[in-house]
Amino acid sequence: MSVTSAPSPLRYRHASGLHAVTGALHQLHYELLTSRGDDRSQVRTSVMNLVAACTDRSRGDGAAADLLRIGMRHPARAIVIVANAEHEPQLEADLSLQCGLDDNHVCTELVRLDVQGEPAYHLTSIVAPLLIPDMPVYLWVVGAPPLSQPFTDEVIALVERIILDSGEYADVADTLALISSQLEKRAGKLPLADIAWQRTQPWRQLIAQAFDPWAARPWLRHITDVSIRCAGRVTTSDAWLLGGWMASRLGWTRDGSPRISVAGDGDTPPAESTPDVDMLGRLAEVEIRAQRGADIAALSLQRRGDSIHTSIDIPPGMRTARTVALPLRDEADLLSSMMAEGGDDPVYRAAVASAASLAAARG
Amino acid sequence: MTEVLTQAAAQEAEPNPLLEGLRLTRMPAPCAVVIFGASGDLTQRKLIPALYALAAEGALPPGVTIVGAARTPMSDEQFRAAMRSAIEEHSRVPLREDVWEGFATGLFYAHFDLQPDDGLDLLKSRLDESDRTRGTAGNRIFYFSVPPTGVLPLADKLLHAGLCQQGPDNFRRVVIEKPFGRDLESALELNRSLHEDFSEDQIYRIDHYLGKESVQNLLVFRFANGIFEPLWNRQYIDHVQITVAESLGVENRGEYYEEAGALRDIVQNHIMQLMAILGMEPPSNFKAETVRDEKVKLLRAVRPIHPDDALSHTVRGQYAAGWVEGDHVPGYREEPGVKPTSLRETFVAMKLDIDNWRWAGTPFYLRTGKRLPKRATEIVIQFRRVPHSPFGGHVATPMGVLPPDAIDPNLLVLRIQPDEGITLRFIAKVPGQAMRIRSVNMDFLYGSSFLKESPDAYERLLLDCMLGDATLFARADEVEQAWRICTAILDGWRAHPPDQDSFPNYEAGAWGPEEARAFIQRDGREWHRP
Repeated sequence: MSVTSAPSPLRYRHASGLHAVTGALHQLHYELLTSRGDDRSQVRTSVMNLVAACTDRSRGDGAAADLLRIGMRHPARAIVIVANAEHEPQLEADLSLQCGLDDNHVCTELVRLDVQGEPAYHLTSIVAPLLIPDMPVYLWVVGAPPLSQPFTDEVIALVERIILDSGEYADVADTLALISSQLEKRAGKLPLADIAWQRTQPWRQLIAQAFDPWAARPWLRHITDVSIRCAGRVTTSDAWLLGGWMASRLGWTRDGSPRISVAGDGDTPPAESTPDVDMLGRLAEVEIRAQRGADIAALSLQRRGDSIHTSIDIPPGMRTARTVALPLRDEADLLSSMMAEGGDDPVYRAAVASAASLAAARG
Repeated sequence: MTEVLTQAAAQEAEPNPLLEGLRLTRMPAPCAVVIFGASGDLTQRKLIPALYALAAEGALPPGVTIVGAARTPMSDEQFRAAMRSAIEEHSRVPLREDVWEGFATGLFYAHFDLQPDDGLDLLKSRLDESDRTRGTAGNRIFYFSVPPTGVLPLADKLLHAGLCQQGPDNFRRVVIEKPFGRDLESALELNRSLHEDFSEDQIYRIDHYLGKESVQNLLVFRFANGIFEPLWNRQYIDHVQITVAESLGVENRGEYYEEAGALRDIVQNHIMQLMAILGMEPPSNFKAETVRDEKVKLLRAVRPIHPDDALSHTVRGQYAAGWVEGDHVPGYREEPGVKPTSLRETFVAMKLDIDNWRWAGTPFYLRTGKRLPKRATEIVIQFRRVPHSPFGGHVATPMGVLPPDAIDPNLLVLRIQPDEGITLRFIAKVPGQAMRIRSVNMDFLYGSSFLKESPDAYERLLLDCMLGDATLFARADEVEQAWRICTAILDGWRAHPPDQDSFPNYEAGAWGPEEARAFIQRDGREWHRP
């Protein structure tokens, strides 16, 4: 199910400086509550604060649209920050009240902050006064900004969850190593969710399923080769995370483990096959081979548009093929599902550590 | 000596670490699902669409085989074409060519008739072939989508064909649809006969209400929230109402309904299950037997209504013609398959008392009916009023304060369908200089809080059956206890049939007969309007 469509703006304000922003936000509240002149008609509820931080204005526009779509299901205060430290210090804000088209009284307050200069290094001090108190805060790190700010103690203390996409970062090995070291250092106290990890979920599910029948399980101990391909010419964190997941789950060490080959497939997918989602870097194919004596078992998963085709050949006679729908999920959908889940994910923690190690070994 | 290893033991010895942390942490073993009555409505509207949705979302293991069996002669191809249309029309998940292609390769048809034996060999050969080529390994689920009269003959036939016996490394399960008998005696007989062919752990009595997310959420709501359970008893709850309202009439099921009526059709199964879940003691774990033990304990504690008291503890009704959802609809006696002088109830309301420490003195009011103003299933928990009100108001007592009964009691409304959710009514101050108070609602809507679409009840239940999890299926003693309660009422009704001219007694589109309102008002209470 996709997130509901974007709402329409009901009220709008512009403000300069943090003090003016908080004042304008308060006024928006009041206008919403009194808009019908009937204290029964309008119930304003917010269930969370959504904060998106990025360094690029166009990414900020996209993030605002995504947060509003989430807000129509989870009424929220959405704060989108575009931070740029290179100019003179300045803080400008556009505030609006966005309400559902179907008169469902669900509204989201959208605050778009343009932060320039030195304050861009101190975003927590700007965001904290704008949050609805006693409501969970979700921080979405949009694009590939430096991870130094999100991983500070003050941010971790403030937020329920930090959502980022390790697939956005060009230097995959360093990024995975940084995430892994932070997770290790904070021993389960870093509430991190990785969109790239979420994208691998259907692939992990299908691989786990393929080896789940009683007769197939012994083959897990005899895997000799794993080949993971992603679309495009570079290897992304999606592919490394999948390899890291297998290695960590099956207890493979660097020495004497099965051969794991992770690479881009060298092709750029045709645009018309998946018009809604950029497929570059997404997982395209996984092949797993296992050998017991002279017997060879093979599992192959191939993305075909918005589905994954699986074929399994496990001796002596298990040969099946099937196709499972792979709903293309946009960022709003992925974010929503990641917000619904909570807490430390030890499987991810182990996978990212293995992935970082594999990627580093590749050099 | 070769050690025979059971499937469960083997899986424990050979764990699958890849499953840890995934959404579906348990994968069913590949199996063959045989649907008897495959040309029927249920197969097309519910079973095949549910199986397809599970397959499309990757919840079924590779190799699952579905064999439709029915009297209608049909080829595999014809069956596939019919099932494809059924999926297109009824599935929650839209049909996709690539998914369908794989799904259809596991879809077969076997012409089968209960009378002659010729179809059984074909069915057996289909299943053997599935074991060889699709890895189903002798695992079978037999889904009895057949009339009640066909259940025992079919079970016997499977037994004699050697299809019921499960081995140490495979399972054989049978899924049976309601009605599970038509009174206590017939239910006992049905269970006794079924137990001759199958052990209880092989029998899955399906009540699709238990597969609904909102019904499962009742368990979570009660036992995962610390704030409600301390209030969940006679000290704080004045009474409970369970309403299952249908706006539809009997449609094309007139003949069935003439035999069943509202009590057998809805109360004995759906409402009794809701009551059991709502009222049971906290289970120590969520295992099938533990949960079902607690449900049975609750049903056993329901005070039996003596047949002589049936009329004072229940209200019967039958709908006349009227207007529902903007349409003029015929009365029950004008429906196809219904006798023009029928005295069958299409509405029933009743009050049950539960004799245990938790609920003594807190009645449960139950009602169901056809051709009511809207389709709605809900549970209302009405809490006791405040013992004293310190607030003044328009209705002042000599002390200048509101009497406690002028303040609305707190209500907790658990909506099962539609608009699944929970509403908590509490009292708040109206803003202003004066101390005026009124009730406000706090709403939780299932659809608004979880973006994931809820699976259909049959998806959940079929998957649970494949996994061997019977938690959401009715056990023999649950069914018998529910019949114990209902049969006493049926006996009383039989002894005191309504006068011919007393039915129909409510117009289609009304909330049942006037007597139902008077029935609850007699206790100083009102029905909650869904």
